[in-house]
Amino acid sequence: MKNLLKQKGRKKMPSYLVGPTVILILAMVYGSLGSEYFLDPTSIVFNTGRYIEIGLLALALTFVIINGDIDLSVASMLAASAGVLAKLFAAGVPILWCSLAAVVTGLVLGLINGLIVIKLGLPSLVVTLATLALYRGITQVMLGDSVVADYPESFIGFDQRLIIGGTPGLPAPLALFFVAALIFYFILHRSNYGLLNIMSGSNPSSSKFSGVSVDRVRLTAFAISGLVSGLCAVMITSRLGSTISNVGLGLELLAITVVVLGGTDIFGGRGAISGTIVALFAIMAVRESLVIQDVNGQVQDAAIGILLILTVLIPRIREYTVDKRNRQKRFNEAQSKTVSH
Amino acid sequence: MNKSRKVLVPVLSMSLILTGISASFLATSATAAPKYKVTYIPKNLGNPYFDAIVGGFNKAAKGLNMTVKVVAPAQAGATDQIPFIEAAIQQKVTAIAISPNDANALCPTLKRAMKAGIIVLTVNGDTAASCRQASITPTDFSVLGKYLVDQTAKVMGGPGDWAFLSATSTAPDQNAWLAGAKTYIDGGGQPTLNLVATVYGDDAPEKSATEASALLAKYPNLKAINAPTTVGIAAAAQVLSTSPLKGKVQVTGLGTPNQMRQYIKDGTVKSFSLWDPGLQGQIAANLIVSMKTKKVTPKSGVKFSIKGVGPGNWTMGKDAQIIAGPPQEFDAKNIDKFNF
Repeated sequence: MKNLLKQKGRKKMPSYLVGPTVILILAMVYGSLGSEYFLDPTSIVFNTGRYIEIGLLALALTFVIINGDIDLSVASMLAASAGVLAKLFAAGVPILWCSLAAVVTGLVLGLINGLIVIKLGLPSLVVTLATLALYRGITQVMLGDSVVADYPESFIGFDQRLIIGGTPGLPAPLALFFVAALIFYFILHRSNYGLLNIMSGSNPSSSKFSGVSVDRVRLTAFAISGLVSGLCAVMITSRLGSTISNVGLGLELLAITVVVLGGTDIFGGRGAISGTIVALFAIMAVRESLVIQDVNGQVQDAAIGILLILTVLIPRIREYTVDKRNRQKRFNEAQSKTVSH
Repeated sequence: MNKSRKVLVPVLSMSLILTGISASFLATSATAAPKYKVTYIPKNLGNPYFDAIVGGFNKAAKGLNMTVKVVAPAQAGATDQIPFIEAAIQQKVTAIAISPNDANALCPTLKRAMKAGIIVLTVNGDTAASCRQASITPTDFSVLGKYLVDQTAKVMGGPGDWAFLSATSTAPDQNAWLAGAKTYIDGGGQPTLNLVATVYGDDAPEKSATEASALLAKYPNLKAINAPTTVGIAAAAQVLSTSPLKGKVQVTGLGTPNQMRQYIKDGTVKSFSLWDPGLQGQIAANLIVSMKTKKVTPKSGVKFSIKGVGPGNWTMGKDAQIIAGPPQEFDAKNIDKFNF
């Protein structure tokens, strides 16, 4: 009976989910043992707010990375979009139009990334490393040292709004994340685009010869990445109630960490939305369990670093040992065959 | 496959448990249920200036039945302090004292803390007035900009070019001083001095040193660098102490005596200034208790006194601002009397 249950559970969980799920559970246990304040449903739910931008960026990046590309410029696209939003608002444009303009800015910047990568045939790592600096630079030129802060009350505090009331309730960012995750899940795992996405990433040249428009698939992924960055710009502006030129600095690394922790292969061809989702909640749980116990920022960063290495390393060791064992087996079989002859 | 998965779980749990043991050991070292729980969030860690504020907090807390927890982010970015404010709300502390990295980005979170009944004080730097109940400032900022210009004139001892080496371009305290300096200069203050540049070292030693070296290279007629930040002044002094320009280019600004002692002794720096940062911690700790027990409501014109601390009496200024004390100049004659 025990064996049966075990086997059932094993079958259900794909290997890329094991690492982040274990981290998630252990962090929850560690947090609740370490602080009586940790398992407060309202706080847990509300504290997700500042991770949602990372989560949305990670969802979009999952597509880019499955293609075998990378987009390092997401945080800079976010900043440039937030800069456009702030500048338009300061010029007296209604906030709704400013927000829309921010999303469009993100989309355009993402398309620019994609077009440079595809039309000029340059590696996305180099191109987006360049636009990381370029888009941030444009933001700094746009905003200088100024701060835009007098946003209307109705716009500020999107993360404090409840979609479903009560305790703990469902705050708007978390609801948005669930909806986005569902959409991205269907695109990647239930649509033609997703299939093409994985095909392009795992073997671009053979996909091309079998009639897949690899270029269009990759361009779409960059565009989605830009669009989501623009959306996150609106969210972060609402959450912080102000805009400065270094908004979102370093978010790209956090988002890529989530994607990789979720089992998406950094070289492309393999990945799943569910991995990214679980990885986001795992990182959230680790950070929250540490901060509630007054662990300082440096130690938190180090913990995430160690966990990332372990989660990526352990499956590799497993593959290596399984591979070695199989080879040994084949070798033994061959040997015995020779002997029997 | 099965075997290796059996390895995965224990390895991960071991690593987490190990960090857990060390972390909870650190967290529970202060015991015996105190009446007031205070969380102080400095800009970042490893900055001796903030260590001195923490020292003031701890000194006052001893007699007040108070525990003071100090937590800080790894970087001094605009939003890096938010998780620590949220954790303090979750821990239902009595008060949050914070040295904010940004005047606006923390506002929504600090307002949530006040809504939850937590006292919010800003220490050494301020946010918008609606985001905290009172603000403790180390000295009179409105005259500090002028003070920095006059201080530079004093060490230069004659006309010439000089530059500011500041912290981050969004730090509210730094910006207020730089603006004050500019107003004073524009109004005809120290007319023989020529401010040629303002650069930002982001309160990181390497970046500050790089910016200081760049100033020396770019402005051959530079006579002085004024760094009104403890990280910046030490970095600039360090660059000059090994440079042929030592003694020709003066370094001054705001620094801590312990950090700057060697540069005063080796003649790189003539004089620099600061106030007693610990005073702010002492005032904050006492004010929190007064607000709880004597129902002191901070607002303009409210007077309060603390026996044996600094000037002893304070009157709150506009927007409940409290000025801790006057600046203190350090030079070769008096530096050994100070230890922070």
